Amino acid sequence: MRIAINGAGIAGPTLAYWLPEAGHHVLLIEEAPGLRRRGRSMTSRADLASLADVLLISGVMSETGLALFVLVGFIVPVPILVWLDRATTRPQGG
Amino acid sequence: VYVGHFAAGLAIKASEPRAPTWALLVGVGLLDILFGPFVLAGIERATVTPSISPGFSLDYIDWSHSLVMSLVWSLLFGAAFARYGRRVMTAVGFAVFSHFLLDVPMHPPDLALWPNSTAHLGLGLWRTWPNGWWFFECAVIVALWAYYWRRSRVDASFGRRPVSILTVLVLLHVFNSPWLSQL
Repeated sequence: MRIAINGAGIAGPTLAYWLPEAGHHVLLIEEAPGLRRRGRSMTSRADLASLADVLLISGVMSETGLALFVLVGFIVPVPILVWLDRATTRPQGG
Repeated sequence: VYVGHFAAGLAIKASEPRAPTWALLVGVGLLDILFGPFVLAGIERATVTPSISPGFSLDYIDWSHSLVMSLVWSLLFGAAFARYGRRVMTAVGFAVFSHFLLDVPMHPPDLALWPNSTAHLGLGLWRTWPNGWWFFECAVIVALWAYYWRRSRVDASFGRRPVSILTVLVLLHVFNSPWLSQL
């Protein structure tokens, strides 16, 4: 599909980056002669759910990420728990 | 179930203290430890589903998590500890199978009876109880830990720091809560 995107703000270039990945042709249109030197700051008190959404959309959190997450989650705590579970008294003799 | 598995491993340790703690703790997580490489190798499939409890969908986990394969992994992993005697071997094997037993209430019906079987088990508390499952699992963790703690008071061969262990379990469980993680 051939898609025209109106405006090179934040959303425009983002779409212009990802749509070709999905096999589309894009034309990005901006009336300003050049890029602004400075933008506005924005504070986002995002919860981790939306962070997960961002990670998923950006491709960081995928099936592979989930598999590694589960793997690490079940291996890393083991030595800690083993260490905390040590015997209260050392066995006598040898 | 995540931390509940570790709590089950510690409870099994309390009932069979001669079993190596690392073997029980690896055992309770073995099916998920297998799930990792199986997904990476393309044998099993999962999808990340942010904002839909529990944050992922296990589309095909028949080789790590089906009833029959759980029994197979339990037997194989238990058999590796044959030299410790039959009781330890049974404890380690049961640790592996406890993973399946604890997963049944939480998972939506994605636990096949055997690889590629059409029948699936799972009561689906993760889906039907998007926040409540966390408190339910919390109660299970505390109950299993309480048994471990009581036994550690009469058997000095394990359990030097039961309170620290509970702290680690609760911290991991908080980290895994629906409010802090969508995974």
